Amino acid sequence: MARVEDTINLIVGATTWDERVNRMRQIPARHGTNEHAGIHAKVAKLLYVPHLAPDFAYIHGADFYELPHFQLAYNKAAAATAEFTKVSVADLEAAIQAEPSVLLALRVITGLTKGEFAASSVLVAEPLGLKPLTSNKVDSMERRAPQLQPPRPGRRPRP
Amino acid sequence: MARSLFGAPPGVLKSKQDKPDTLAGWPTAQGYAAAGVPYAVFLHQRHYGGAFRQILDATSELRGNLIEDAIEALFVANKVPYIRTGSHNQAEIAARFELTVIPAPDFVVFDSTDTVRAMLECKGANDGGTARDKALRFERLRDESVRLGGLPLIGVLGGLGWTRVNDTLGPVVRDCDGRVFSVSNMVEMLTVNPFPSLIGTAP
Repeated sequence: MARVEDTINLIVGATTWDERVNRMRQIPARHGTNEHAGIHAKVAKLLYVPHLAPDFAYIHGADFYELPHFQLAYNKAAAATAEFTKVSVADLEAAIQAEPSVLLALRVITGLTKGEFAASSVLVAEPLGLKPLTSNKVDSMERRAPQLQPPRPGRRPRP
Repeated sequence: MARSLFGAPPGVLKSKQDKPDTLAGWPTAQGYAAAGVPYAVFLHQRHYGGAFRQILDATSELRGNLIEDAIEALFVANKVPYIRTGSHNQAEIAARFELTVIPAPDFVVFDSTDTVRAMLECKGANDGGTARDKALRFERLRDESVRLGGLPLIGVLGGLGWTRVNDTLGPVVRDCDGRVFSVSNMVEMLTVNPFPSLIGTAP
């Protein structure tokens, strides 16, 4: 029976990929199954880990999640509610009817995800005999691009 | 906002209204809207709620495609005949190559006689737990490889999750007989059988 170190060195010393593959395939013939996992782990650490690179430094862009989309929804919501001071049911209903995308800012204020917000609407809608929102409906309302509105006079510009 | 929908949180739990801008309902929201949010509060929310979690979840498929896109570009550049699999061609893969594992491997490489010569699976993982779960996929593909008479199985991995060797990378190296690559050295894959005989054979 070969020593574990010898087999590892044999694999590491392969000069071509095909040679490495052949030597890897010899492990069952050279060792009992109780040694296999250790050999595979050691070979993995020596030959494969050095090639792994982090891929967490970058993200894809997605318009819905970028600041401009949210900023427009926020501006609309702030304008429609007078900086969130007009927040009665009628005020919010009118704001959302006029511009469904304001739901994005309003929902984020609640800290609920789309699915959670839709599920919450069931609790409210059923006693009132209304149709609750679905997660897809919330999504489509929020993704609708809000109409660009110029900053109001006397207000400091939002970043 | 009035804490009337869900009632008081039971036991040690907290309400989701217990965050800076909704702590006192609309009045605190109005305060932040009028005066702005202190940088410490902004950073705390990032710390508390996660950094980039939503966008990462929303674009996970695109992120997963990064490795596959690189492999496809390599095959195209070297005229290696391949099929990139997806939900649209699972039946075709099974009928044409007798590869019955579902889902099919990410890539199937074949020769001029339309015989499958290798299968390739791409997996990215940035944490060890995810990598361990994904390693099981190679075990299934290994079974399919054995069923088809030792068809070469090739793994292309990305992310630091695979640096956990005992129960993640080690088993994948075993299942692929060492044919494991990452984007940084994927060109070397073309030196492993069966690729040398396939280079330049695609139209």
